[in-house]
Amino acid sequence: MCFEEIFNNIKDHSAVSYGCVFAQHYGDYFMLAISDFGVGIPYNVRKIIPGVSDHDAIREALKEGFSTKSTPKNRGAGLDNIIANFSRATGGTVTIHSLKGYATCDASRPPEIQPSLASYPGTMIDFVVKTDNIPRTEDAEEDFAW
Amino acid sequence: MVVRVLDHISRCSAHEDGEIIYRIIRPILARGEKVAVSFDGISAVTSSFVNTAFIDLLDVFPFDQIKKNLTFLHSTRQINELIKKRFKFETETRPSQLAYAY
Repeated sequence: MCFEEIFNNIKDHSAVSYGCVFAQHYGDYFMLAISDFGVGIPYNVRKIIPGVSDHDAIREALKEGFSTKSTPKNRGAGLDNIIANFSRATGGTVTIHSLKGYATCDASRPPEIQPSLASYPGTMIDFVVKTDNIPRTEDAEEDFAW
Repeated sequence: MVVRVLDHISRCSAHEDGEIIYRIIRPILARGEKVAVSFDGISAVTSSFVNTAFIDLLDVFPFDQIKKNLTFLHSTRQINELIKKRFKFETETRPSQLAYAY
């Protein structure tokens, strides 16, 4: 479901209509990267916060409730949900690269958000997980209570 | 009344999927009736789906009325946590909704 969130984000925010997926298994790790070559997260954030740097723009985009409202339905919950779901389920690491900024997130510490030495032409989100931690079954049913 | 999502949509992914469910449950809630949304056959949903199917109800109904008349069946931990997290955030940040303590 994380990956559907990403493709929703590409559709809503990137100004391109397709994304690319790359996956590899090496040693004890599995890595999957999803990328678009669109306008990038910082470009959209600067419509709301003019002049913000690329890495600070990514910092803003990671906050629940922050939305650039590329479509009226956006509520700023997608990135937060991607990181929360993936980290909770696998203990893995999520890294978001967009233009000249990146953020590395996992369940054990606050996101590490830095300027990049190189510029990524769009947005790439990569997931790295130990193969032993990949869930083999779907979540069991759980009763809902408000 | 039970609304099984897979009877109306094939997946809970995009805003458009949520819009279909919203259009089914909104009139039921408007009549003051109870509705249970069943995720039978669905293991996970996106925030886009939850926002459009359920969070948009806050534009029309008070949160107390939603809690009283809307519930979910055959859901999973991911679905339950996302629904509650989204409602908590929205009710705590919208000036028109009183914050709800879980």
